[in-house]
Formats: sequence, C-alpha cells, structure tokens
Amino acid sequence: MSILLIAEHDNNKLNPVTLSAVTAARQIGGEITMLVAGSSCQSVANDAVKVMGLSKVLLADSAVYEKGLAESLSALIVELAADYSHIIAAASSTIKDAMPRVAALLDVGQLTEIVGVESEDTFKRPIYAGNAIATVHSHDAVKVITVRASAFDKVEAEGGNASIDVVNVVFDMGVSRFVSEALLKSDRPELAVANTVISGGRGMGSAESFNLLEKVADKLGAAVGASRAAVDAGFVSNDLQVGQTGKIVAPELYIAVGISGAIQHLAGMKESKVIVAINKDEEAPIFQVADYGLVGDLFEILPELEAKL
Amino acid sequence: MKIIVSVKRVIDYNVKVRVKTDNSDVDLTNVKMSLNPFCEIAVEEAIRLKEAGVASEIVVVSIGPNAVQEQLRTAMALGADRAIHIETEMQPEPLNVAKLLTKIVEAEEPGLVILGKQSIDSDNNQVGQMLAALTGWPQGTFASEVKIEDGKALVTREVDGGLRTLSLTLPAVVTTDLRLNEPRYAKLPDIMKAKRKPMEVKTPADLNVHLKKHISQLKVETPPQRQVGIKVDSVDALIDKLKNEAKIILRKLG
Amino acid sequence: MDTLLGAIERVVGEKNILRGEDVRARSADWITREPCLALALVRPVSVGQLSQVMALCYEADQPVVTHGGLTGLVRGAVAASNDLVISLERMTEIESVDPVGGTLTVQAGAPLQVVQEAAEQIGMQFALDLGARGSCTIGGNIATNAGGIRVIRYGMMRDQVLGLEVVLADGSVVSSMNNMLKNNAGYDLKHMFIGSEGTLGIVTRAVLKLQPQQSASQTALVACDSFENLIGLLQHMRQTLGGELGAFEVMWRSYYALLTEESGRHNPPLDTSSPFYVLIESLGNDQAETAQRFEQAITSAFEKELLSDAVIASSDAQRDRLWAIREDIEGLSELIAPRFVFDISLSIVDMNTYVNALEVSVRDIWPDAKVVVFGHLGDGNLHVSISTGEVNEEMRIIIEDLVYKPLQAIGGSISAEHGIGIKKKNHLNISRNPGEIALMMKLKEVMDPKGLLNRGKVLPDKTNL
Repeated sequence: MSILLIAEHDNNKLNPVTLSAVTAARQIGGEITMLVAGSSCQSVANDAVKVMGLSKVLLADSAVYEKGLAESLSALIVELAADYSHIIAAASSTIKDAMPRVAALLDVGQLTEIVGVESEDTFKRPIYAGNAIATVHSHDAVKVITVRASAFDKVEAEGGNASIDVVNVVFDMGVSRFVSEALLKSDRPELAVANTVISGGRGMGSAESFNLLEKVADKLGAAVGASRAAVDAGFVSNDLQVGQTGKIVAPELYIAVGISGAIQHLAGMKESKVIVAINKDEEAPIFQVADYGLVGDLFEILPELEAKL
Repeated sequence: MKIIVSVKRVIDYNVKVRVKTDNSDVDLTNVKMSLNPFCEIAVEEAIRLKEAGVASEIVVVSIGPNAVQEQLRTAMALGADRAIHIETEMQPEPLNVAKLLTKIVEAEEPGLVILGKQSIDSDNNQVGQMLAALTGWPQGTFASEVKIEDGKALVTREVDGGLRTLSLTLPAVVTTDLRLNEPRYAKLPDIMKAKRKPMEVKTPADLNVHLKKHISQLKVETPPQRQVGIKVDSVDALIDKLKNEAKIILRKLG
Repeated sequence: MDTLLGAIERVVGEKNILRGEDVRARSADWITREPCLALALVRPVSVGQLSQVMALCYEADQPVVTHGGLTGLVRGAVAASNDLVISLERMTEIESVDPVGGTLTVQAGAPLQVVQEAAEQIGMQFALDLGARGSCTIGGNIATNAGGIRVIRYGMMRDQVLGLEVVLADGSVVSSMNNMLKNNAGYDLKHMFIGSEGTLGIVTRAVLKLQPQQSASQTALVACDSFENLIGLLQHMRQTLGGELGAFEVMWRSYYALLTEESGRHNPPLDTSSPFYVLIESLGNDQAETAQRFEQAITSAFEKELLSDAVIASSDAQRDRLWAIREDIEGLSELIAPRFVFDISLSIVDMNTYVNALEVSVRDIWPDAKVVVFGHLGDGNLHVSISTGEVNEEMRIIIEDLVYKPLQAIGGSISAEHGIGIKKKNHLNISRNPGEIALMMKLKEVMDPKGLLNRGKVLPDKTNL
C-alpha cells in the first residue's frame, strides 16, 4: 500500500490538521507521501519533511496553486494518483472542495470525514450530523478519503527525515479565478462559528465583570456568550445570548461561567465537544453536562485562569 | 439562462434519529421527510435569480423512489417551472447521482446548476463537486452569496476562517451554504398551481447510466455517549485536564 | 429567626439554603426583573426534607412562597422580605415511565420540556405544551393548571394529571399517587390542589398521563379577512381535520404586524394587511395521510373564501420559524415595554366586539396606546397586552377596569390559564360568585389555618369583599 496525503497549509506554515491526517494514514499502513501544492511554499515543504512517518514530500510550487482552487488542485492530484492505493487529507474547506472531484475523475467513491480506521478499506464515519456512526467499506481500487482531524491525534511535527521531490506539472483549468477573500479576525470570532466560547451568566453579577470574561476570551481567541439570565439582567446585549431562544453553538470548547444551566441554555450549547463549568453553587445543573467542573468564586478563578493560559 | 436545481428528500432535521436494534441502519419508519435544508436554499436561490431576471427557467431534479415527487411538487410550489424525477429504488451513491445529473445537464444545457452542499442524512458533501468534475465545469461550493455578472458567476464561499470570492466562467456548478438565503414558504395558490406543472419521469436506464456499487454500509451504531464529567479542584488541574485529557489547544490559532 | 434557618439548614444541608446576595441575585418576576426579597431560599432534595422544613415553618409561623420555573405572569411567586422561598429546583427527577400504562412519575421541579423529552424517548408524548416549556416546571404547571397551545386537542394540565403528592402547611404529606385512569373512591383530592397556586399545599410529585405520539404534523399560517371567516375557518378545520386539529392560534394584526414587518424580528411569511392570522396545526400518525388531509382542508377553506392567503410549512425548520412568530413573547415584551398583560376567557362569538370596544375605550384615554392581541381562539382564550408608554398604579386600576368590567356582562373569565396570583385577586368576584369565593375561603382556612402558604395570593383581601 502507498498513500498520497495532501498537506493543508497557507503557503507559509503547515496546518496542524495535517498531522492528524498523518495519524489516520499510519493506521491504514504503508508508505506515506505528502503533497505540498501551493505558491512560494518551500517553507511548508521544509516543515513537511520533519513530520514523523513520511517517506517523501512532493512539492508542486506554482502561482496556479496559490489559493488551492479545486479545478487545478484536483487535476494535479489525479495526475499523481496512479502510484497510490489511498489518497487522503484532512477535511479542510480546500479539501472538501477538491477531493470529491478527484474521486469522480478517478471513477471511485469518496469516504467523507472518517473518524476511525478499521482496516485498509473499512472506516467509520459520522452520518446524520453525528447522531449515528456508520462503518463503511470501499470496493474501489483507489480509496479517496477525507479525515475529521479532531478524531485523530497528531503525529510529531519534528524528527522525520523525508526527501523533497519537485513536481513540475501545472494544471491551470482557466475556468475559475480568485477574486478576493475576507478572513475573520482571529482575536474575537463570531459566536456561532467560534472554536471556543466562554459564556457568563447571572453569577457574573454585573456588566463590568464581563471584562474578566473578555480577558480570558482574548487569551483563548474565544467568542463571548451569555445566558438569558445575564441578558435579562442587562449585563450584555441579547445578540450574545446562547440558548434555545438565542444562538445555538457547538464549539470544541465551551466554558460556562456563573451559569446555572437552565434547560433552554443547555439546548444552545450541549453539542459542544468539551464543556467546562465554573460556578460557586456546586448543585448547579450545569455540572451535570460539564466534562470538567470547577466549584468556586469566579472572581478569583477568572483572573487566575487568564494569568495561567 | 436555464437553472437546474437538484434536490434530495431526507429525514426532517428535527427528527431525532434512532439506530435500528440490528445496527443495519437508522430507523426511518414513519418519520417525517422533507426537502433537505441545503436543497431548499438552492431552490430559493434559483427563484431569486429568476425574479431578478437573470434566469428564465428553473428545472428541479430529484433521484429516488416515487415519494420524492412530493419534494419536487414542493420545489415547484416555491417557484420551479418543471420537474424531472429519476426513479430509482434506493438512494444512489454520490458518484452515481453525479453521473445521472451529468446526463440531465447534457440534455438540458443549463447555464447554472445549484445544489445543496450536502444532505443532512449521509453528510457526504460530494455531489456538486463530482458533477462539476464530470462536466468539466467550474464550481463554487459552500456559497454564501451568488451574483451573475457579464457571463460570470461571482460566488462568495464560506471557507475555514472566513469568506472567499471566486469568479466562475458559465456554465458552472454552485453548492449552497446555510447563510446564502432564507427560503420562502410555499403559498397555497402556488401549491395548487404546482400540481399542474410538468413532471417528467426517467430511469437510470433511460439515461444510460449503470449504478455501480463503490461503498457499502456495513453497520450503523449509536455514537458513544458523553462520559459523566468530573470536578477538578483548581485552575491548574482544569488547564491540565483540558490540555492532556481533552487535548484542547489552549491558545489563539493563527 | 436564625434558629429557624439554622434548624432548616440542619435538615437540607448548608448548600441547599441560600441567603443574602444569593437570594437577591434571583428574580421571581421575569417581567419586572426585581430582585427576590425573601429572607432565605430553601431547596429540599426530597419530600422528606420538605416535610421537615414545613413542620419547622409551621411551628415558627413562618410564611413560605413556592418557586417553580418562575415564568408566571400574575406575580404568584413574589416573596416579601419576611417570606421564606421553597424552591423545587433540586427535585427534578423523572422517577419512572410506564409505556404500557402510559404514565410518567416525576418530581415537581422537573421542567416541562424534560418531561416531554422523556415521553418521546418511549415513543409517547406528554400533551401539555406552552412557550415557556424550557423553564416552567411540572409543579408550577399543576399549581396554575396551565393551558398552552394544545388545549384544543388535549385539554389543560388538570386533564394530564392522574395522581399527586402534596406537602401540607403543617408538614404532613398527602400521597395520592394514583396511576389509574379510573378511580372513583371518594373525593378526588388532587383536583383541590391543581390550580390552587400553592395556597393549599406544595406539590412534590405527580403521576402524569401520556398520549400516543403524533409523529406526523402539518403547519400552516393563514390570513383571514374578517372575524366571521375566522369563526367559519375554525369550524371548517374542526370538521375536516376531525381529531387531528392540534392548534388554532390566532394573532390579531396588531400582534402579527408588530412582530414581523414593524419590528423586523421575523420575516413575514404573509403580508401584514389582513386583520387576522391563524397558525393551524394538525397532528396525526401517518405522514402521507396527515399531509394530504391537511392540504385538502386548507385548500377547501381557501375555495370557500374562509381564508384569503396561506403558507404551508414544507419542513420542520419552516414550522419552527412560523411558531417562533407566535411564541416570541420575549420580543413582544421588549417591543411594547412597559405593558399590562391580560389573560382572559370569553365566548368566541363575543371576541371581536369585545376587542374592538376595548381598543376604543383604551384609545379614548390614551390615543397612542397599543393594544396587542393573540390567543388560543379554539379555547376561547385571548392574551391582551396594553401599552401606554408607562406603567403606574393609577393607570393599572383604570386599565384593569376597561379589560375586566365588560367581561362580567358577557360571562367571561379574568384568568383563562395564567392564574390569579396577586395581580387579579381583587377582581376574582368578576368571575366567581360570592358563594364560590366563600367556599374557597373556608377551604383555605381548613387547609392552611395559619395562612402560611403563598399568603396574600389568589383569594381577595378581606377588605375587598
């Protein structure tokens, strides 16, 4: 078996989700070749060779690949595909755009966002928005796979010693053109799409004490939310409200501070991957859904948390 | 310009799915079925383009058993002009769907094909991209804004960390994301009118497409339940658990 | 006082008695958001604890106010500074669910929605439903005999309760946890407590009746251009949908236009020019049959010109958006704050004349006042909000007169489903005759001789008799 793994990057640095995809690839087994396609992306290739477990890095460096447009990127991958039994990558928006094209052009099915590797041709993947997990088996000679990065540990980014081969084929399909992009500022992401959310409730006591929350949020690159009680009490505006009648969020990490955990609040955040509750009332219902609970005075805990992050 | 919209009949998003006790699949007995939410947005976008004078005709296509005609009628009540039902027993795999749609596209020669970015049952997120690959057309996936100007489609896409705008040569394939629009409701007079709009029924054989098996579903399980949480006694212990047990990266990315 | 609280603390434990700022941080009234003034808040974890707490209070003549989800509208949970609050927030367990008998046994502090979801887990449904489902508790639903949006099909809370357990004023426990549909052995005591608003005892557990799940639902929003057509439409839907009519919720234009076009809170699915809008829902078992029957019913109503326009939700996402308009009470509160809120019952045929006359009489005094009306038409229940731009005691007296006086003449009720609390107690005589009120007072005297339970609520002040 031999695996072609597509690197995720910004032409400057390797994105850590790639390291999770390498783990998935290693579970499948066989030699792993990583493709770095981009523009002026030598530094990414230099990162890539150090990743544990790779035998080779292919560098396709051309202005055409700068923005990872699906038409050109998929043509490049298909051109290289003949040597591999598996083509795999972390399910980034670039890969989600390009990989199904690769599968179609190879006349094979695609396995979307796998969360587990059972064998070289059998995988687990979530369906129905994660409410069920399907075990799926591929009959195709080439397996085209995208990986849900959060389901796999990352391999070591240092210690590897792969060689770099330069790929000179360039596919410019000429039918789509990059116009512009507007990347969200990372310091305070939008509540609905943030990876981390820290919310305050009635226990915050005042509008001023939300500053404590914001300082922690800044450290984490988190969005700030609030319970309905905090909104009702006038501490913050209602566009920050998380809950059944506010925004529904499902971040990687949700930190509930001074929130008792009324059911309508839980409805807005219970799908979060990891939930932390900080509350002085150890009987607060929020602790029943929290993965990690910390009982104590938030006015002491928040500054300490900010200092230690 | 003609627009083709492909839609899928799926379990309603509100229904809590239950896995069958024999783990063969989820239980779909007598559950509410609706238009896939992303497909609803695709239909709405096509109607808006027609209302804006950009499109002249909207053809809606769905693949599956007879019941999908209900969703095709809904799409016509919303504003599609006619429907094509490709009759199949099971829900074909994405690549087969893309092949069937390719045949429709070859026959109908639309300027634009709009699809939902994924269906909320199989969550594959593949058909639009595969259709674009098979037709050789450019694609604008996960669209949050679509403008047609000077023979080009200006598509703003939702990408990791922000928005990206592409200019696509027409004809092109667009797949919709949630924020593209808020779909309208079907009005009663239009629901009545939709019953008289034309519905063509075809089979994969008519289209000369062989439905090939690429991926089999071996079993379906309920996801692991959230573990009972623990209490920690200090901020240090909390940070340690988050880093080492939950493997959360506690810092700003990028 | 400290000895009493100390003794209570020994019963419930330190963490289950809140004092000072922890009590002040809570509010018993979600409209005024005023802080809770009570001297302490006690949250027992079992009926045994509550029984001991009440025995201590009885001995010390300590008045108590019971707290559930605090979503009431008649100030029934407001506590004075010498009251002790009993909160059921730690008694939230669903003790058992019986799919064969169709019953569910639950502690009184469980939120309504938790009960609904537990019933769904076994393929049944708990039929009471109202906008506050996520916060309101079963105990509160029982104490106020809650109504909501499914009354037209399933009746009120009273109709969903098979058995009760109650702690009386002196701490004794009366368990009447019947789980039989039929039981005519003597007085059916539970009915004395249902709707008594915590003045006769504290409900701690209940056996609830479950209904078969109606997995197929269809929802439409329709516009009506006259009240006559609205009545005709109700009759038409009852006949054509038969038992499947699950909701018939009317929004006067004043409500619909305000929550959609005028405020921008919701996109209007239908334009805002009609006088009446109705959210109609059918609940059935078979997806295809229910959908077909519903569409036919709506279509034939359209052909008979009973409705002038309609949208039918094509997915549950759309259904939720339609209901969000009708249930956006938060939005209504925000848009016309401050407001006076009324919950009245009257015969359907009288409604239009009544509302029109009320608008005229209010605007005679305050020409710019807003009168916003919606309600459960099929149940003869309207919710009326009146906003003059400010709220004061003098104004309250005038507006209450304008709303309640005409009801007496047409045999209406000052409280359809919200209860009496403090707000309406001195208007009780509009809806109840002197004989009824006298018996209520006798009952209260027997059940709560020291007057400790939710004192000063429901029954009129003696000076007002």
